[in-house]
Formats: sequence, structure tokens, C-alpha cells
Amino acid sequence: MQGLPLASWSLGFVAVYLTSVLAVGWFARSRRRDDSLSDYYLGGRSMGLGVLMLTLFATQYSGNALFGFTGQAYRAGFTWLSILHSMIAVVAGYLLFAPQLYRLSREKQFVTPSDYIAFRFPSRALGALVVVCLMVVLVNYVLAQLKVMGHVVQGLSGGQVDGVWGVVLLAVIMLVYSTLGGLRSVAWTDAIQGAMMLTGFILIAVIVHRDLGGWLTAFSELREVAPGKLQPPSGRGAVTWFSTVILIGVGASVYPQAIQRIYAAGSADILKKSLAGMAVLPLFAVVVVLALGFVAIARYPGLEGSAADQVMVLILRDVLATGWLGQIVVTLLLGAILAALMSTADSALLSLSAIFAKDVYRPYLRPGAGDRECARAGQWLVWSVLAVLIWITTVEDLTLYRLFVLKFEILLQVAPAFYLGVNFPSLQAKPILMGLLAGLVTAIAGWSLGWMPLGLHPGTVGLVVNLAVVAAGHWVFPLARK
Amino acid sequence: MPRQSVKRGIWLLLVALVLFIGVPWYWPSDSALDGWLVPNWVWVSLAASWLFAGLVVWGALGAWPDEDRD
Repeated sequence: MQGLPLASWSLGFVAVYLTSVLAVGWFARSRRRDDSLSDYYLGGRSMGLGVLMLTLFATQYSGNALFGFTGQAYRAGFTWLSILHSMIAVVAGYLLFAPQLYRLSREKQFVTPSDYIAFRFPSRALGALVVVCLMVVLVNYVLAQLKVMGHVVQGLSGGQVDGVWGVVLLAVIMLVYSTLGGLRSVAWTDAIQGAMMLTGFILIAVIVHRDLGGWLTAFSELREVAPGKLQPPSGRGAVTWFSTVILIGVGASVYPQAIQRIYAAGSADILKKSLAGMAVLPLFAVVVVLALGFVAIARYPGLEGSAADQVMVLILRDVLATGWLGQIVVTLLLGAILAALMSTADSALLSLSAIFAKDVYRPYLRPGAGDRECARAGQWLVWSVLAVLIWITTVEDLTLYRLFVLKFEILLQVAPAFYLGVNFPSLQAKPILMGLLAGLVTAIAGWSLGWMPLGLHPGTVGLVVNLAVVAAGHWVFPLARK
Repeated sequence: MPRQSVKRGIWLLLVALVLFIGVPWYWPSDSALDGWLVPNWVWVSLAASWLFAGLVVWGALGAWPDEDRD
């Protein structure tokens, strides 16, 4: 693939952007009130409406949204519209537990998602299993972002710069600002990054319409080149569609980093208004990203497998060729892409740090350790994990979508502990633990074997098994209620 | 039954309905309904997504889920 002939001022803009997020991290550090875990990992529980909505947006819409969604739209065609419903379903999922969880978090001073589990279900085994699941998911999530960073650097430089060096640079910058200011700096940089992403989405929509032949022309070409990709899914495909909505809608609503943002909201009213805003954003953001993938089917035929994840880079190259305006647009989009990648990865890393510090280091490794020491242990873990993940990005070869799905298979099994926990006060720990185990075994075994009965994802089948075991444990066997 | 519970019930039913409508369950057949739905399925699904988002906004700002409001 040829590199993008970016002007030197474009690279200067990127440098200014990267420097500015470091400055935000330094400023956030100066605003810290104390050394408590709550201040470091939840920004003092005082997030306002604008910052909360933008940080939720930037966290949910990641490198996957820009590259994975576009690539999957290219591969699957219009049946990937299911992702639009899925992203709205995430917010619907929040409504089923987030407001109640928020109230409890204020009352009991939760810092991590597992704090709620420990409070609601006092079972050491369940708590430990949830912590392991969340940490695995977060590591997976960061790995996916790092892989995209590698793709971006390699794609944009036409293979002249090794992707791993781009990953190292961006990772170090993320680590520095998140270590300096904790959630405060991550959320503030997320807000900048979220605003850049929204601007980027608008610019993409305009440029495709103005300079790349227009949306309607592109869809007419698509009808001629690949009519099969305009067809509705088959019966089995419709089941997969529904399963995708459940998988992502329910799974993403219990992202650890998103739950921590629920805790960090300044008030219940701010939380609800942020969720209302989040429900509307996919109608614009997801539609634009999908449309790019659809346009690319006719424009760049023949891409297969992970090569389709490079569709966005190909589009940027064409936009760049349209002249000086294209140069400006691509420069801004480059910033938006970096923003998307960094905002998701930094949030996951901070959440990983919090879970290790609060749920592993203090209870298991150093009982009685102070908040400052725990936070430092979390930071060390994150630096170490990141070093290993960067190495893995150089040897693994999974397509982005497959990485994206794997984390949901696991998250989906953790979801009942939150959803049912806040809504069914009489539910005990044992059925939830047994359900979680049964769901995990089913989902992971199914995923390993590539098993999709009737078109259902292994995670969705696991959730059905999980809920059946919970119901059996709660209602059928009265002993479990004791 | 508390007013909030009724609102929750209605909200959940509507969400389930919109989710169901959003999924293109249909496939080319001789029926007149499928004859219309198949070529227009993208628009039907997009319209369902708008309704879905509207329901979630309504849920967030009014109908769901704060029992303290009762």
C-alpha cells in the first residue's frame, strides 16, 4: 500500500495534538484534591454533563468503530446495520441498571465494578471470578486498540514506518497523561478526543459527498458491483443480527471503564442526560462509518479478511488527492483517528489499573496498603502489561472484528450480576456464580470451536445457559436462597 | 401497581417491539408484504433505529427507571 503524502504542517498538527494531551495530563495532576483511589480513579466523582457524555462517547467509539466497523461493513454489506441497533442497545442496557448502581456507588463509595459485586454478592469466589473476567476483557480491549494503532501508522506511512514504533510512541503518551492525572486527565482528554471524533465524522460525510462522487452514486455502483451485499440476511443471518444486538448491547453496557464513569458522574441527573445524548449519537456516528464501508465495496473491490480493515486508510488517500482542502480534512481526521484509538485504550488501561490496585493488590498481595501505594501498583501493572501487549501485536494475526467479539463473549456472562443484582434484591450469590461459570464454559468453548448454533453467537448461547442456571438456582432449588 | 412500574413495563415492551421490527426476519417470498419489505428493508431497519433511539431518550429522561420518583 502506498503511503499518504502528508504535508509537514499535517505532521506538525499531530505533534501539537499529542503535546496538548500531555499538557492536559499535567494540568489534571495539579487539580488532584488528595491521594485517594476515589480521586485518582473517579476524578473526585464530579464529572459534568459535557465531559461525561464526550468521555462515554470517546470510550465506546474506538479504533474498532473507525476501522473494525468500516471493515466489517465492507465484508458483510448492509447486514452489518445490526451494529447501529447494537450501539443504541448499549444505552438501553445502561438504563436497566446504571441509575440504581450510581445511587449505590455514592452511598457505598464504590471505585471499581467489582466493589459493587463484593457489596451485593458477598462471595469471595464470585468476586475473584468477576475480577479475572474483567481484567481479561480489558487486556483484550487494549490489545485490539494497539493492533489498530499499528495498522494506522503502517497504513499511513505506506509501510515505511514499522507499526510497532507508532504503537510505542502513542502508548507512552497515553501512559504519561493517565498516570499523571488518573480519570480526571483521561476524561478531559477524552472530551477533546470525542469532540475531534465528532468533527471527523462530519468531515468524512461532507468529503465523500463533495469529492468522492456522492453517497447516492456510490450506492448505485454498489448495486451493480455487489448486489448480494444489499440483500437482507437469510433466516440464520437474521438470528445472528438479533444475537449481535444482544451480544454488544448487553456486553458493552458492563464495560468496566464505562461503569467507572457511571460512578464518576456529578449527579444522577447528569448521568441520565448523558445517557440520553449517547442514545442519539449512533444515528449519526455509526451511520457515517458504515456508509464509508459500503461505499468502499464498489470503490476498492477485492479486499479480503483483515485487509478490509484498511478501507479507512484507502479512503483517506483518495480524499488527500482532492487538493488542499483534502489535505486539511485528512489532517483533522488523522487527529480524530488517533483520538479514537487513544481515548479507548487509555480508559481501558486506567480501569485495569484500578481493578488491579483495589481488587487484587490490596486484598491479596498487600493487605492494609494505603491508597497511594495501591495506585502506584496499578500504574506499574499497566506499564508492564502494555509492554507485553506491544510485543504481542507484532506476532498475532487476528482480524479486528474477531478480537472485538471475543471480549463480548466474556462480558456478556458478567452482565447478569449487574442487571439482576440491582433489580432482584432476593437473588443470592450462588446462582449468579454457577450461572457465570456455566455461561463462561459455554461461550469460550463455543468460541474456540467456531460454534454458532442457529446463527447465535457462542456468547449469546452462554448467556441463555447462564440465565437458565441462575433461574434454576433461584427458583427451582430453594437451598440456594439460604 | 406503582405508576413507575407501569411506565417501566410499557417502556420494555416498546423496546422489545422496536428491536424485533429492526431485525430483517423476512426473505423473498410470494407474499405481498415480503414483496414490499425485501427491497425496502434497509429503510425499515433505519426507521426502527430512530424509534429505538427515541425510546431510549424517553427512557433516560422520563420513563425509566428511577423508582425514587414515585
